[in-house]
Amino acid sequence: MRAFILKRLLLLFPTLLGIVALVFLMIHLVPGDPAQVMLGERASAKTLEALRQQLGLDQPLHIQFAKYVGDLVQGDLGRSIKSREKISRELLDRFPATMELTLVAMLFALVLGLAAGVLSATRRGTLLDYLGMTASLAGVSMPIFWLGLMMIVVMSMVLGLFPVSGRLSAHTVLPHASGFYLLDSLLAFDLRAFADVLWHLVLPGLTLGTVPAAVIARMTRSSMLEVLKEDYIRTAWAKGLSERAVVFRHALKNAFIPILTVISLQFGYLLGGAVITETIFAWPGVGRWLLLAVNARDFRAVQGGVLLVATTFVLVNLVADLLYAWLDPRIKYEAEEA
Amino acid sequence: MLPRLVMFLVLVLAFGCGQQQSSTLVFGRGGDSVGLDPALETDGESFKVCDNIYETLVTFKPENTEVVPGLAESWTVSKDRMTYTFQLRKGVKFHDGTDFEASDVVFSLARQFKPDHPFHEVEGAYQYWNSMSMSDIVKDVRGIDLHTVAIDLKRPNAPFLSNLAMNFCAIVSPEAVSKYGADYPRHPVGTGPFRFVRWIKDDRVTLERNDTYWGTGPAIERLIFKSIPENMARLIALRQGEIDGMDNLVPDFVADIEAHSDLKLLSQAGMNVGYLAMNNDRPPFDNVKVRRALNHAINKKSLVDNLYQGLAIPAVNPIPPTLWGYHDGIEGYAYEPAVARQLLAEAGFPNGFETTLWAMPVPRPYMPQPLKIAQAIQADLKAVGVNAKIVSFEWGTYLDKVSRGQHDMALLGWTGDNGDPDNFLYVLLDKSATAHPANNIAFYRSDPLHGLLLKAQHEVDIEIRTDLYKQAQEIVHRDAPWVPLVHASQTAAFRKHVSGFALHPTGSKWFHGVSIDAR
Amino acid sequence: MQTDVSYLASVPGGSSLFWRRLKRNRLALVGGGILTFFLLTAAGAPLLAPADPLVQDLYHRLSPPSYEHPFGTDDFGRDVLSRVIYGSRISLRIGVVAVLIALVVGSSIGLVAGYWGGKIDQVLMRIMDLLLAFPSILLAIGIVAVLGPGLENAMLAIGTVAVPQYARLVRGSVLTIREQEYVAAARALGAGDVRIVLYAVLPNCLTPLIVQSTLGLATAILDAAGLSFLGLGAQPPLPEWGAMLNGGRELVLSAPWVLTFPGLAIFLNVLAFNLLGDGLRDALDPRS
Repeated sequence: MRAFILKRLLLLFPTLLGIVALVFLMIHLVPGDPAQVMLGERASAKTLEALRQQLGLDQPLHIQFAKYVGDLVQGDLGRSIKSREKISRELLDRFPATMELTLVAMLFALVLGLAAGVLSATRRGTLLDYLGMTASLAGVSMPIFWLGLMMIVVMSMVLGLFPVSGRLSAHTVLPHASGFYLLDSLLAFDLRAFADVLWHLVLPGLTLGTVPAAVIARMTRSSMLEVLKEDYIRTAWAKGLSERAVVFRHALKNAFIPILTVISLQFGYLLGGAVITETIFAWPGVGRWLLLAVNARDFRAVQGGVLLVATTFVLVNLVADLLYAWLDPRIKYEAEEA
Repeated sequence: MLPRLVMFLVLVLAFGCGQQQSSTLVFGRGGDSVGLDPALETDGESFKVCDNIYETLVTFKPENTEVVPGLAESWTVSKDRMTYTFQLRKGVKFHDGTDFEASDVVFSLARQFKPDHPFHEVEGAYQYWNSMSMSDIVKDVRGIDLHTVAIDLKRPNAPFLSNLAMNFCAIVSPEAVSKYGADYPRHPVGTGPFRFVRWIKDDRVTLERNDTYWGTGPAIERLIFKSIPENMARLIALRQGEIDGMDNLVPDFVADIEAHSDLKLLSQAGMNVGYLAMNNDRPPFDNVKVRRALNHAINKKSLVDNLYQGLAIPAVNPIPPTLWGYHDGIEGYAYEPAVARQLLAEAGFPNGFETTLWAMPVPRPYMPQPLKIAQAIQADLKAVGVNAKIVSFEWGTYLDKVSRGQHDMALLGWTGDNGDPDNFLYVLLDKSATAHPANNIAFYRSDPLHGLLLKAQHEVDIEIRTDLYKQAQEIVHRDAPWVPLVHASQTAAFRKHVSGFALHPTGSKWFHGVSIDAR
Repeated sequence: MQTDVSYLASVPGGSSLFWRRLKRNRLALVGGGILTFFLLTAAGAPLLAPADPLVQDLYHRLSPPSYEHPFGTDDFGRDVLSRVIYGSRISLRIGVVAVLIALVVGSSIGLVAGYWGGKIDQVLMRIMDLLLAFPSILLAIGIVAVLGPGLENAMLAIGTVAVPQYARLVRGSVLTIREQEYVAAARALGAGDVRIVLYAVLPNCLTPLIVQSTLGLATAILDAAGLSFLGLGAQPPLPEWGAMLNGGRELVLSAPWVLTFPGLAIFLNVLAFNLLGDGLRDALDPRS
């Protein structure tokens, strides 16, 4: 097991390096001179040169790359053109907001998706199955921005049940500790704030999590159906085990591996979909910041944001892979033999 | 640290009892401030907050642009009108506890023009100072004694006292600027009725009552400026009570607000102008026929009727009719697409041309929905053969880029700062305002205009000045560097329980007279 | 997504089995029906649309659905029905172009990697893995950020992001087939590599590629609408469905028809592709 973990961790570095390289190359794909694009035609030669030097564009490519990696290791992602703040600082300020939303959406997707999938698989062919699969097919085809807007119309405006935007009511005061408001409010023993934060998380979380819920539901169903056909399940039935025992202790556990693949892939979807969701709900996270950076043609900022999100995704996949090994003994043995 | 902690605990406990809510006012706006150093910024969102943190030597009356004492109790002007001496108020303290003295006035102003001042070279330029050519007007600022300050001018300047009431002349704390340096715009310290507490970027700016304020303190305990860029979301927030007030209303929403009895609408003729600037440095906009053609191509009445829902009037001149000096004898370019096409053909573009039309994505007082205006204009232009691609950037970037002249055509506007036509014409259309960062984004240079405007600045007699400005407007009309679009009404909406707020022609949002009635 | 379909090449009558099974899947037929409807709409747009989708009529903006304007008018008085109809052209075009890019580039990479193997395979697959390490929407946004907003750049971005899936699929097929006897036989007979690739390898990848492309079209249309919604794809005044949703954001209470119909169009379109794709995949699956 340890060898497997080590091997997997070692694989991390070339992947990260590759991501860094790709993100680094981004600025060189800009048609024309990036400095000119950022500053415009009226910029004096002096300011253009200064920016080029600051971006390191006047050096040969490999030296630029070395400098980029060097800066990265020190946590220096450059400065944002529009706000003049350190990009790393801005990302750090906004990262908890995105992560909190993503995790809540993932939780929702897991609970709903697994439940629906299991239900469909165990009640195959019934109305419940049919409904479940239709719903998940609809979910997978749903444009997330349409869903978000419809949610706002129905839930916020017509029914007045949920707030339209933001993480907190303007009246709520939270000490800025971790940035994860759910955690911060608990640490401050402020249940009212906790409720407020949760209330604001509902609509964006539902919006973001619907598509992954549908995907997970579908995968769960098909994976469960596979497993339920196996001999050992029939043996379990024959032994007289309760449905709950058969389904959860035996079937689901073994069906989980392909589901895990889907879950970790869906995390990628969540991180990307956060851009749209954050825009609709005015959520002060990395996604919305990234969009503003794109609109500002602030390439350094875009690089920083993409790098952060991609790295997060890679780390999540790593965790998923490790979970694999824990769940599926065969992988462990394969890795150890290798 | 400890007093803060205690204060926080008290707040939390009190909040837990649900009482603090009534003394917090949340104001929703469409964009975040760019920075909070009043001398560095030029946008309304920054000034909105600065209005409540800082004060100026003189200020305006709540209902008009008449100058009244601010941080200066009284002043005298020398016979040659080149020296202004101010007697400063005593016993005023900055939010960081330091005393307000003459040296603070000197610091706040001198840093903007003295090249050897330690804080002259900062990230970003002193845009207002530069675009108003204050360095050509102000010779020196000197502290005479602890509470007396004198400002020497290079030439007599009629709007000078009014200019001192503008945000960029606000008095900042030198200790704070020294302490924070380039980071100062995130840590503002002034003498105003509210003190700065916290700024969560793209979310909210929190201010608190200044308990050591020299005048009558504000009735509200906490003032929060919340950024909600989505117009609909902002309206819903107001309706649900999440925010207590908002500005830059989308005209389509006005009917909705008036229909709700728990909301009240404030509206006033605006001292502003919304315009389409054509970059005169770029062909084909260097050809006056083309510029005039576009003036004929755009249906301003339709914009006013449909996209402003009547909350505006079509513009003919760069200054609004509410301003003295307005030339009502000028007839605007009529909406005549046929004439437009003909002019374009005469200019050598019988089949039109391709170009870009820039618009900002945030609501402004003169234009609540610039992207929509842009699309309507795009259609009008297409009808005469001009194919314009719409380009947009985030607000701060937009301002930066248009000031560098990266556009072909751009939508922008201006709210008057001091009730003087000079504030419009000189800042926006004089040739001196084309230097980076330019406020004259049409990059229009006219020597005759320049002469007239300078003369009007020197003059004292308002009738002579009026005549000069009328001549100026005639020149601008002939040269048509812009398509002046509208003068929009200023609007704001509040929940019924908020009282004491008044719209000011300059767009300043002062909250120290505002109170919240018990819910 | 990877289905081993090599068996189809060796089973006699394998293709007709596939089509028979497909026809039995009612949901897939529904999907196919919806798609046919959209294709016809797109093709016949100039005939079907009652008005010019670009002409503004500001004095009649935000009119609710009526006889003249069955879907109402939008913020600029434009007929929503006409815009939705013309929008089908744009959406289909984006989808097809993006998938074509991914298909051609991805298949080429997969073929080269699978057939020649060795170092080339490793390098190419590493690059594919790298692309897959990014969440797809994020990568698309990044590409558009660099190239600038616009319909063409959006197509390019979405296509590029989808390349790895096709590469992997084709490579998998190639690896399976490479060892087959008839390939060895062909080579013994003196057939060149290119011939083998074109006539033996490619046809066997065809069916999984069709499945992948169909499902890929769904994703492409969705992503394109998403990018346009963010302002990065189709620019005004183009009647692209995502862009129409962007323009209708503020009208959600006052004029919900501006949002409902384009959104519905996207949804139905994507649903149709998913139904069809699912049906195709089930028809291919040897296990069911």
